[in-house]
Amino acid sequence: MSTHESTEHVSEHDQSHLDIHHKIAHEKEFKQQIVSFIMMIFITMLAFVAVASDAISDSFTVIFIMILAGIQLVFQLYMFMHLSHKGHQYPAWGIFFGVFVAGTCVVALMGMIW
Amino acid sequence: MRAEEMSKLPANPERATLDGKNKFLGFWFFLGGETVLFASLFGVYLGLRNATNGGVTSNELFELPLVFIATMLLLTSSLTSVFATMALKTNHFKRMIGWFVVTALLGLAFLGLEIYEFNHYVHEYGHTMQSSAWGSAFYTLVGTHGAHVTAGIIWIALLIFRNMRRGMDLYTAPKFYLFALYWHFIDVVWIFIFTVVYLMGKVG
Repeated sequence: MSTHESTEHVSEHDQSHLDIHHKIAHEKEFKQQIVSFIMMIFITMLAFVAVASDAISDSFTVIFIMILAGIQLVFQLYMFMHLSHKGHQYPAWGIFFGVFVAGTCVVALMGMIW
Repeated sequence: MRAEEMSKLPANPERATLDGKNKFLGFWFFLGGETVLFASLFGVYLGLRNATNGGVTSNELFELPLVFIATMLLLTSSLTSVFATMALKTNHFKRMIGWFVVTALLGLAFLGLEIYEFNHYVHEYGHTMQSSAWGSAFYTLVGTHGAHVTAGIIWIALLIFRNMRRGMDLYTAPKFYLFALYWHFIDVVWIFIFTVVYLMGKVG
């Protein structure tokens, strides 16, 4: 990676279009992404520990890990895929309509097979 | 001329042209459709997960450490593609390529683990596509995700290969941005696979 950086042609001068507000915004976003990632690692570990330990009842574990998966979905969509950013109204409609149909589909299939 | 373009790259280069806007919107709608594709496989899996046909059960088969490592690999690759997107938005082409290479390598490692896992299940446990309804549902669901990872690796390899010398402009920015979206989506699907298939398979 560092060898790539040294051959990089984009100099400070080329970056001049990025005003100081932009730079602050990007640094803030970078920090948010790192925090999100650490949170996601933590949530993942929590899910694995909940399953590995015998202290928690099975039915509660299932609900618990499904909630954790839902939280991770929100993290991915809003932090990593920038769904919260400006100009994402239509994408949000598209993906949430997909999620709605997906939920209906899962419930219907489970019900039909049983 | 290109250097001039680069210095004038707008704040959201992936959506600065009509072409970019259309790709961006169309790709999100595609991801909505992909969500439904995977939902159909998840629904079938949940219906058939106890239909073991007298063979090995999910509790006997799955090993959590392997799944945990695979999860960490894919989660980390999601972060590296976030770094690539940030490099894209700040007009650092080489840095973006570097992060996408790391993303692809992590994806390859994930794929290697999955191949090892499937091979292990088939040869050590006789858990195959034909052995039970659960086997069919398992390999279809997890295999479709694995096929998406494979497609993603081929996609980014071709993108890098083809646009390496072109650099960052309003033509390449949407292409790389969409790959990052796709890769996050793959990670979202994996979150539900490790939860619904592996963790719930261990709980019973």
